[in-house]
Amino acid sequence: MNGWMGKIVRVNLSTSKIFHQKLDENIAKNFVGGRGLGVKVLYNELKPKTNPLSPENKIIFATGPVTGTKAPTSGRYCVVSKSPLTGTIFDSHSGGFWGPELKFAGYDAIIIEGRAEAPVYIWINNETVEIRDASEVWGQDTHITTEKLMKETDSNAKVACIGPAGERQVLLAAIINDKHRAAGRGGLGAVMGSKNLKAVVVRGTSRVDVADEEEFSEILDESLMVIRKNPITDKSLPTLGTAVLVNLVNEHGMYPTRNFQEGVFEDAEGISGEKITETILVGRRACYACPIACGRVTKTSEKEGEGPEYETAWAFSAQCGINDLMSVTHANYLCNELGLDTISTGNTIGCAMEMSQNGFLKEKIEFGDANKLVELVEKIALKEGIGKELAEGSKRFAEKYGCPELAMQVKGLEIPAYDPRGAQGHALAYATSNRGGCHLRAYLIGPEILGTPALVDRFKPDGKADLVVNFQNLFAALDSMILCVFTSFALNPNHYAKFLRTITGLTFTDEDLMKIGERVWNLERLFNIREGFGRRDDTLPPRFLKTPLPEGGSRGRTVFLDKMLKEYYDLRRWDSEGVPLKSKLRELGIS
Amino acid sequence: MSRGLNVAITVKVKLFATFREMAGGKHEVNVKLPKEATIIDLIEELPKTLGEEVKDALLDFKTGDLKPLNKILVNGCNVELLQKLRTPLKDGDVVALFPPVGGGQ
Repeated sequence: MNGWMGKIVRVNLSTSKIFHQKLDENIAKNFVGGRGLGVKVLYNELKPKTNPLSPENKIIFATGPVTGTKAPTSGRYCVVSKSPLTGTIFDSHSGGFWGPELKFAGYDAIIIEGRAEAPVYIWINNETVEIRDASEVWGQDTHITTEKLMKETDSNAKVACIGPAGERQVLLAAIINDKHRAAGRGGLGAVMGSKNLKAVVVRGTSRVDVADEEEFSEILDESLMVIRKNPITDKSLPTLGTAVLVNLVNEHGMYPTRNFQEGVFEDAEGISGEKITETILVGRRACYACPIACGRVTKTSEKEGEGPEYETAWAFSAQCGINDLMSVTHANYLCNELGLDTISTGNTIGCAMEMSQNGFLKEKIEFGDANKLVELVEKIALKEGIGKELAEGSKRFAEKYGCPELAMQVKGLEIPAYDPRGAQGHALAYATSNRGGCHLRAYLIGPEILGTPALVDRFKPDGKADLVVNFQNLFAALDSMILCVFTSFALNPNHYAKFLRTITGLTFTDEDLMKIGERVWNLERLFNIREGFGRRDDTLPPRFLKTPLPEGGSRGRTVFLDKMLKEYYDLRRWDSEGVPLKSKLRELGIS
Repeated sequence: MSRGLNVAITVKVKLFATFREMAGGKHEVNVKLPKEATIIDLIEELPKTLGEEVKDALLDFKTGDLKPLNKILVNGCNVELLQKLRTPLKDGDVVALFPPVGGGQ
């Protein structure tokens, strides 16, 4: 096989059985890899209502046929499982260097089930796969764990691990690879923790074969040229990082402030891409084979690390009413070390702040309290004090205290750094996302704010359903290849299809690409329906439907969800309850 | 005397990202304009306080149009959705200028 390595490794931690399996060619052709592969396997193999933190849940680390070639941004991998935070099917993605290493070891994916009796890590060393004792690193943060495990295995090994948060099955726990990269969302770190699985360590020395070297070279050159000519991928992301969005979103009046009570943060400037560049930035970092290099190497007077990225900067500043860059940066470093999702953590703390403001909590947790922020991040990771309750996420936390409407989440996943009242299409994207409150299933901010591929009126609901469907399908395909969605600022389905063709040697047109994305999307929907999700979950917290933003560039706005949702179901050929019609499933070959 | 009658409105211009460097480090500047001024009038006025670079970055001098992906917001509204370069301005308006930016993690 070209592109794919053609092999999957299965590990059962209960029985300690390890075996290799051929990658099914039909799955490869129809689901490609990464997210698609993970979803297909779990749909087939997981029983409905499986407890995500039980030995019966499976967790898959998956790459795609493009991973580990020299295609731009081909360094990503994803982790797929049933999320303990949302209860949905969930794929969480990360960059860095771990993904290609798994390919170089000879595998497309590793599928893990069961539960080890004591803490273990999996060591993949080319063809040799072992389950090893992790007692020396259990309890350690992700940085120390990474260093120790590299010493124990191979100085060139790549480590994906959990920190104390994942070990304690915190529902906001992330999986951290290469120390500073996170498969953050959905609490998949808790799934690892529930299996007593501390890390997956890989070392590989082969290479990924490409079907047509000459044609691949051509599309490689062409795509690099397009990426270099695009001002987003060539200038703004590399020079200012993702946090360049802070001031932009704030000026549009949709920068969620103090738990989405307002859309303008008076101190946005203090935690912006511009400010980061002026003060704590020491360098850029690129993932494997990435020409964009949006990663930020940073240093404060006390610590160093990477980030904060846009979402993290928001989660610990505007969301919590905090204007101190140092505290925000330290909270960011802590999340990487302890293994926490910055978005869900910051959002949940902001929720607690509004709850405290309104008298729902005994403990005083005030907006603007930077010391409290850092204290709570640690408490959540260690499940100490109120941290134990916050570790369940904002939905459960707010419900427990009788104010569910104060949790800004969809399907249990905390909403990220764009107020949906400022962009109707993006609002629809949040409501219809298969994994809950997520901006990356369909990044409508592109057309609605950035003007790419073309600017649309963010306040009009017209035409948004169509855009959302197309972005969801495209990004599902990219998540299966796997390529970074940042390339989509510059590249189009034509480019992506050509990469797939030249790498795998199989015929893929751009229609095929979009069809694959649509197939993955519908299969995810079927999984979720089987778990009990339906139309009532394709919604937004009441604040966005009923309360207009008070001031700023999006003042007076609410979301027109019903109209857009109906159009969305019609376009997807789903019935009025959001169930895919049989004819659509037959067309996609997944009935 | 007649010049005094022409300076009828003041708008605040906010600069972001790489536009700040181009403007010699300035983040913000107040610009006085005649009563019926539009966005293009504002841009033409910028070199007086900011130098030529910002104007050159914004405008394609061959076509006279805004170069793609630059963003000009008037009170939070992108001028592309208003009257583009002919969008009228009034006293107290806040105009935000962004070069092409992107991101989102």
